[in-house]
Amino acid sequence: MNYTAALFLLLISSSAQAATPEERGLEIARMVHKTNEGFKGEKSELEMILINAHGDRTVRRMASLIREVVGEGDKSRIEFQWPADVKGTRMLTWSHKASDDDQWLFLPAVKRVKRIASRNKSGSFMGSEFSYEDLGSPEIEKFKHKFLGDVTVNGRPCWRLERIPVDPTSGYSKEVTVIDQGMMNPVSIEYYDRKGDLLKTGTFENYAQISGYFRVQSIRMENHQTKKSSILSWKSRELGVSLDDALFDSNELDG
Amino acid sequence: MIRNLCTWMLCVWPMTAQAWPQLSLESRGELGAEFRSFTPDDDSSTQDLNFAVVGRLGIDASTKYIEAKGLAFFRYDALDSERSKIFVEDGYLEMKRGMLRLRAGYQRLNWTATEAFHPADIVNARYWDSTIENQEKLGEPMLAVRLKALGGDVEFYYRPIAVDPVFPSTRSRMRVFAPIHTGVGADVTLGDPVRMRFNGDLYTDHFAYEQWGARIQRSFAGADLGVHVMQHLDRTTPVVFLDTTEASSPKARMLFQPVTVLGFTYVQALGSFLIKMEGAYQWYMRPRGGQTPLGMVPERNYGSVALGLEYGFNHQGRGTSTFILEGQGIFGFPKNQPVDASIFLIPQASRPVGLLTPLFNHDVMLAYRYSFDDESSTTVLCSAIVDVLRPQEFLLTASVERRLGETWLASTGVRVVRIPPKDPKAPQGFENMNDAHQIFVNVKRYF
Repeated sequence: MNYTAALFLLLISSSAQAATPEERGLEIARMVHKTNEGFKGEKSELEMILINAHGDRTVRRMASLIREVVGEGDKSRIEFQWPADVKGTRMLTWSHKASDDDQWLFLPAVKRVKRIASRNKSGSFMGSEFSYEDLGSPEIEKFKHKFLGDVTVNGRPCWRLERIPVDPTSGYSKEVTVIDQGMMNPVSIEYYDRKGDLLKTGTFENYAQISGYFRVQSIRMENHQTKKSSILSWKSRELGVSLDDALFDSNELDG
Repeated sequence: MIRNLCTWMLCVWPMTAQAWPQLSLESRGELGAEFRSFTPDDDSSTQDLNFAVVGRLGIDASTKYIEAKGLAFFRYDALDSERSKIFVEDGYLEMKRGMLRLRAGYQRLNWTATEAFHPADIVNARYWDSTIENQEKLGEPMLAVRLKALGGDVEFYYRPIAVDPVFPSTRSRMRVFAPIHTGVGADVTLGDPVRMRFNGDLYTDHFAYEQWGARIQRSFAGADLGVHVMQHLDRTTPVVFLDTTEASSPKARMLFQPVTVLGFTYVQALGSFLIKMEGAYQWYMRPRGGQTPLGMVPERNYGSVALGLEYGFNHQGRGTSTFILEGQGIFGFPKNQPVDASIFLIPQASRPVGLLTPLFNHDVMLAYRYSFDDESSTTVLCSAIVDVLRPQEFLLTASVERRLGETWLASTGVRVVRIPPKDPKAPQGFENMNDAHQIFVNVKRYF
């Protein structure tokens, strides 16, 4: 057993000894965050399939760039590629740990960079079952965490955690997430609406190890109330990419 | 020096082999049909129906060192040929190196913070026979050099050519000038515009016109601030003269006057609110004494400021509502020129003068947008713009837009325009649009 594995076990055992479920939940959230940080930059091509209650499918495509910011929230830039009428539209987000995110939209038809209010993040992302907050950077500080127990999913040991959004304008009253202890990443998240009813379940499928990090290749989001679902899948994904800071400058969105 | 640099960027550099390694090309475009029907005005000289084919074609090329973007627009109106136009929106080369960015070619610049009133958005000439609160823009040739400085981006502009706006034809229901029947001779028709140099000379024979400007943009604490200064040819609020040089065919001629503009835009995000401001002050150049061969150019330095508040929220389940409240005011306008002045030609006078002032001067807008957040991106928009000094002047709009499949976009709506003429027998300027209510249906296919 090498030194890193011993340290990892020590962390887990110390988390097991945390005094309250809240403390242990926060500790696990920190461990998950710690495990997944350090990727520097991510470049990916994504496809989203929207499936309505009748099974009809429509497709969305986009390209994403993420730049890790040490000590703050990450910066991300999404360029929409399909449907054709939104081709070239870009969304830039500067996530923040404590305050509202900064967010801009570039509208190519009028060549306008427009700041948008990031508080309205419970809205649907491109008409899908994903909301903007589902796809945002899940900063630890944006939730109150609580450990619910150990579970086994597909024969793998997992933790079950509850996290309550701190932001009162969140579309959710709570989220229940199941985290694979080996991959230190979620395998499912249940989203509860503001009334406390189960709204959606996100199932994380096909993890792959990229540059030493476990990254999901597909997320299926099922809306239990509308019976609609959406599948977000990564067509390509690179980690450790060095991305120019200018790509995340709002004044450069029109370039 | 700058002309040589422009020539090098536009002509020499792109022809060198090193400019095009690893070339990638991407195209995009749209093709559609626009139909609009106005309430009849019992005037056989105007066109109450329009049916147009519109299209946009864009090509982007990029290499390791250089990018090229091109976007052209055309509208072919089958019922009003004078409305048919084709123009370049963007067509430029771009080079980036470190903190420096150079662009040379046709560009549209969008310097606005608000949705309906755009006093700071002064650069490009407009295609007036489009949505009047958000007119289509014509690209203008320019060299733009941007660098990181002063905690933000500073961009310098050199514009060697001033592109003329496209005014509505006298057949259009969106016209701002109607032929004047003098009753004592030939009718007054709209002639070619006249340009004034900074020294006061007038000319009409070419488009060359040196214009300069700079803009700084910064983002801080949830806000975006932009400040610009521009010395250029104003083509949005021309002075209008009656040119009787040819007595048999008197012309109303718009005079484009040089102006120095200091403007700003500011947007602040506060929770679910966006606070928006933009404004500009314009110092117009006049010849000594204000006298030109066409007549006296009035003094008219003035400023305009627009304020806006946007509030949006997501509905439980689906849908997003957005409320927008905006207002615009003009200040410093000379007391001897009424703020609501438009073209006020008096044919009986020897050399009368008029002004085409901004359509919106003391107006407020209340708008509501509802996005269904569905896979078709269905959106409903309702807006009302009212002149607070003359409440009988208003513009109402209701429209709905929806994607059909994955490549078609359809929109339809109704617009109600009331700008009652002060003299019903001689509507002037925007008063010509009075009661030009319309329904419209647009369908576009994107590719």
